[in-house]
Amino acid sequence: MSDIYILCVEDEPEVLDVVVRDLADLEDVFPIEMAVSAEEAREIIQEMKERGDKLGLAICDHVMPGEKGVELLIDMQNDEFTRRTRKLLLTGQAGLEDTVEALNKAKLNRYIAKPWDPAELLQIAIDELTTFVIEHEKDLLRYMGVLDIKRIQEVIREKGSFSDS
Amino acid sequence: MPTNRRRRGKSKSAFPKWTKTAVGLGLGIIGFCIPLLFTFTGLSFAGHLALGIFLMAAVFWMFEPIPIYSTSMLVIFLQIVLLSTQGPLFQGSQLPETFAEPVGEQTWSLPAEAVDGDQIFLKKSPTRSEELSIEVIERNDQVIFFSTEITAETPVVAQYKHKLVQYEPVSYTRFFNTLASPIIILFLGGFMLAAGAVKYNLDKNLTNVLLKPFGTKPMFIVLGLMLVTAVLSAFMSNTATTAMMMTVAIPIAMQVAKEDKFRIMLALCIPIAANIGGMATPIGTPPNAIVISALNQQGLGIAFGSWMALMVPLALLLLLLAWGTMRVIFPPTVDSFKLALKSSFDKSYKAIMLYAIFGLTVLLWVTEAQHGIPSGMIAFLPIAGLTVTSVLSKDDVRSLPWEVLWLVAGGIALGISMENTGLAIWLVSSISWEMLPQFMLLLVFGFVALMLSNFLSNTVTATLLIPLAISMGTAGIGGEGFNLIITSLLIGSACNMAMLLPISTPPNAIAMSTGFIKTADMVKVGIVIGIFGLLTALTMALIYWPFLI
Amino acid sequence: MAMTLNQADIDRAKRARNIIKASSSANTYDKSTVIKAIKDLLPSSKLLSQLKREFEAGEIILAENQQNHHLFIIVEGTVSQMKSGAGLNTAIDYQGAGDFIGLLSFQTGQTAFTTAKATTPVTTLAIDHKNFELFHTRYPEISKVIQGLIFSNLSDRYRRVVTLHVEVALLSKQLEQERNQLQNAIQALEKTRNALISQEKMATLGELTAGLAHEINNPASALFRSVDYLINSLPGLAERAAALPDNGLVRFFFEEGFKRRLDNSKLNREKQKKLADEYPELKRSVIRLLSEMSPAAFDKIKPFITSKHQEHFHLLLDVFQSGSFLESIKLSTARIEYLVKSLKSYSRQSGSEPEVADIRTGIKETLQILGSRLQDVQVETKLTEIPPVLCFIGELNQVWTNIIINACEAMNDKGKLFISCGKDEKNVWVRISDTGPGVPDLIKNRIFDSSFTTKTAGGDFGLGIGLAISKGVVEKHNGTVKVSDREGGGAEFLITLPAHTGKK
Repeated sequence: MSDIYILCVEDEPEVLDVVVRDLADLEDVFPIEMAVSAEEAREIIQEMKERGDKLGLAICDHVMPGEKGVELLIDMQNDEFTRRTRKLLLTGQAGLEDTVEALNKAKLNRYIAKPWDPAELLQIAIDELTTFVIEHEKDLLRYMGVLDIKRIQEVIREKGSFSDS
Repeated sequence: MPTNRRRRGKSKSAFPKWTKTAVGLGLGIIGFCIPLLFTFTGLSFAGHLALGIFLMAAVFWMFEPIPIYSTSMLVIFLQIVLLSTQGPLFQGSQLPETFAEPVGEQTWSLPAEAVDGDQIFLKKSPTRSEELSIEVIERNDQVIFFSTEITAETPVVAQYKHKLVQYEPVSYTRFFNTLASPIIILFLGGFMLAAGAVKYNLDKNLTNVLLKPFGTKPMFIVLGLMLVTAVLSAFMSNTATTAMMMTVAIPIAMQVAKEDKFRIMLALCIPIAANIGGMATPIGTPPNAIVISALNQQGLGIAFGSWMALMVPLALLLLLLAWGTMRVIFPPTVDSFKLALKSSFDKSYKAIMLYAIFGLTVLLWVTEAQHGIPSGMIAFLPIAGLTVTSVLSKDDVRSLPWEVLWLVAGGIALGISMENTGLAIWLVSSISWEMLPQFMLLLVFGFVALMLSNFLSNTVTATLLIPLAISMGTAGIGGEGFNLIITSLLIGSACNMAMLLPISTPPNAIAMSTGFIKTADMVKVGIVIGIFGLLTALTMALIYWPFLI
Repeated sequence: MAMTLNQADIDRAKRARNIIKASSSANTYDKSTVIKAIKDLLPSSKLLSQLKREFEAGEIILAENQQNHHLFIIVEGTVSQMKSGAGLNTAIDYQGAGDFIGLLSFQTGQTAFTTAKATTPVTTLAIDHKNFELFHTRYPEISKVIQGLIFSNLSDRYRRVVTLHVEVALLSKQLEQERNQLQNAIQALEKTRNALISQEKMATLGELTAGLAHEINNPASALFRSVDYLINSLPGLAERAAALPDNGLVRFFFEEGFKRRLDNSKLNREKQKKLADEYPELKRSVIRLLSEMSPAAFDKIKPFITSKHQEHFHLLLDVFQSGSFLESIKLSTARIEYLVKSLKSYSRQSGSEPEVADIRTGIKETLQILGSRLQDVQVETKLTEIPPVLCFIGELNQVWTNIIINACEAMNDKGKLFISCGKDEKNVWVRISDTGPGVPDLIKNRIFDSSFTTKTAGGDFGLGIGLAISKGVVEKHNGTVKVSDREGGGAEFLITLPAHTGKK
């Protein structure tokens, strides 16, 4: 069975460290990958693709040396493999223009300003991953323990995802 | 048990999935071959074939190398190929015949290969034989025997080991027909009602209405949740009911601290009630279908309302038992809860059609004994009604749990073969049951059913056990006082009482994956319900059911 | 006098005389009638014929400031009267048939007031003083008519002067009004300009704040979250540590955590993969921590991984993590402190008095503050020793900021930026050049104009008056700013400021 990954892209290791720590509750079900640049993120995504895993959520800083976060997200949107990935911009500074571009071209799902509230970040990650598994996964029970139980139950009820036997 | 719960870490040390698949497939195929390689005395040729199918199906159902419903499909496939009149084995085959030669007064002689011990088989039709006991006087290559019933013109089967002996092949349509048997249609009707209820949120609104009278005291809330869950799951799938009720129970559970055990109770009471509620009506869970169809084959009809009269009291007792047990194990620490129960019934044309059809169908089902219209017939009211009024769309019809119908149909078909090939009787007669009193017989059956269905699908357990119980009754092995209906009902309810483990039933799996419950919690309550529930059912089987049947 | 008079001429002359007589007796001096009469008289009158003078078009009849001895009566053609003065030659009037030229100078003996120039071929009667007397005696009626004409001409002129006066008065009133309006407009413009300048300043400020927000947010986030974690974990750690057999381990792992340096993340990932294969039962978060440990630390924690020592294992992990969070806090605090320091000195509000300062400090601070903007710009600085400058250092920082931002914008934030400085005998100079497209010659002069911008409306920030402000600031410091092409492409700004000589 393939795993659904979370990918965090952030150029500053200390910040990356705390982002991952804030998401630690999800890690046992959704393994977390870290990248310090857009370039590394691409490598990681490529590896996932080769392993047959999925990328459920990408949390991306905008202002980074080299390629900007929004550019990475746009490329992800244009790639079949990462199109469905939920995309989250976590940044202290992105101009209105960049944000609008991200919204339009990368179909950005969420925007979080730095510094963030850890509970909020976790909740948003949960919401987004719940949406992802509901839309793309069949065996929802596997994720119910860490995700939004109510929404998943509702889907099980409506879709009759599995039946008595 | 369709859950492939995988916990990180554990899964890596456990067997890889393909190993399990390979073992399952291998064992299944071996099981299928055993009866073809060995000859069991007293079992007909067709019985050997049926035994092969039975063993293979049992292995496949246990190890699940393929989904359980596809095992059912495979069963039907093998039956039409191996056991039907039109299959290659029995196509055009006839019983070889010979005639007894008179030796003296009512003394006859036959070739030795036509006599099985002290039995001969009289040929009644090209494919049907009937056994007759004789008094053997002398035996070499000719058997000389005494019989008053045979005449010179009576055709006798020339080879007692011929494949047609003791088995009259049935048309392949007999196996197909299981798919459209009244009980399957009854289930289909139930599925459609449930699909409509979910689509128009009837289940949710009913829940909110029904929960109101239970107030805000913790134990009453739990009681309310359990009763409502049980009522809904009596008509809807246990799984869908659990998923829906969980969305009600979770917000309540969130109001208590993480460490509070009451939280466990809130999450655990739902699957337990859903499992128990499934017993209450014929359409509650698939094992009920197996019981009913097996009884139907014996000409024993059981009306919808009669079933409820038999089972509702048991379900209520079990609910109270579970409630009381959990109250002891997970005492509540909070005084009262906030409940946001808002019902807003859909008032569109389609929703109202649904309410009307739902109400009418249930009413007709419950009063079956009064008006005499079979429940399978009534089930066509929602089937036709909900689609004609376009309450359910094409997509809704497509998304019904058709595989459950296949599972049940395969089970029913297997039961047919087990019975008419003599396999079931052969199996049960290999143990001497006469030593056991009726009470012990029920206890043994109930216990086996309980144990098996904790690990296997409830339907599969019923499929494997019910034909055996039925044949005990028909063969008279059960001794006097053996009641087919009571025994079947007991096995059926034992199957539904299995809720020891997360894998025991889908509702358990759903509750487990909320993360509120630990397996140990489930096992504690599951053991109590299993043991005391079985005893309760036994008590009812001995002192209550006999009065209604 | 070889002149033959034909009868027609004589008749015409007669009629003319009659007309003149009639008009002189009637005291009516209609110009056209009189001129027609004179024209008619001309062929037959010897005197008149003598007086006749003709001019080509463009010929000067009477030049300004000349002595004039004739009174010219225009019989045919037009003459323009011009007055030179204040460096220009203004046509003030046009004269036609029946008008006089040199009337005033002829009568008063003063030099001519205006220049008369024929604009078409012109026929005049030029009467000198002698002939004027002659007329008076020989042709009293003609003289009378001429005098009448003169009078009417003078009164005409007088009337015109009066009208002119009125017109001038009106005009000057209008002018006054227009002048007032202009003044208002200028005031409004002044205001707008000031507003624009402050907007530009705000925009620069905006840029700076945004950059700073990012620069500070990152360490702030790390700081905030690390402290959060420690608040939750520290109290428990102390208690749990007591249970450990060897207390030295706690200190060791704490220090290990504090010394932790995050590896190259790729290497780290490979390490994690290996660990995950080796210890499949461990959670990923644990594997991650293990991968961050030094080999020495890993060797020490290894014996605890077995399930028997779970308690201790997790304690050590937590201790390690606490150490690493403290390190994070230390790093983040240092970053913030440095940023704040830079910001403080960067924005040092110039007091009323300039100070003697090393402008290189200001340049360095500016580069620090613009850090996020310059992420993809390779900055090469060559700041050699230079004498201090008497300046408002905060304002000069604004200059560096504007020029650097301008360069960044020109290069789309990607390229190289060269900053160097030096001195000559009196001045210090700073050279800032980039690898952008450069400034086209055409606009080199205008680039410092306050209205000039190559930025498109909307998208870009700022109003394009940053360079104008910079120029203003530099000029206030008695310096100059010039733009030229950098060798190898790009623009080069050279700022020169007078070096501080030691006296205040």
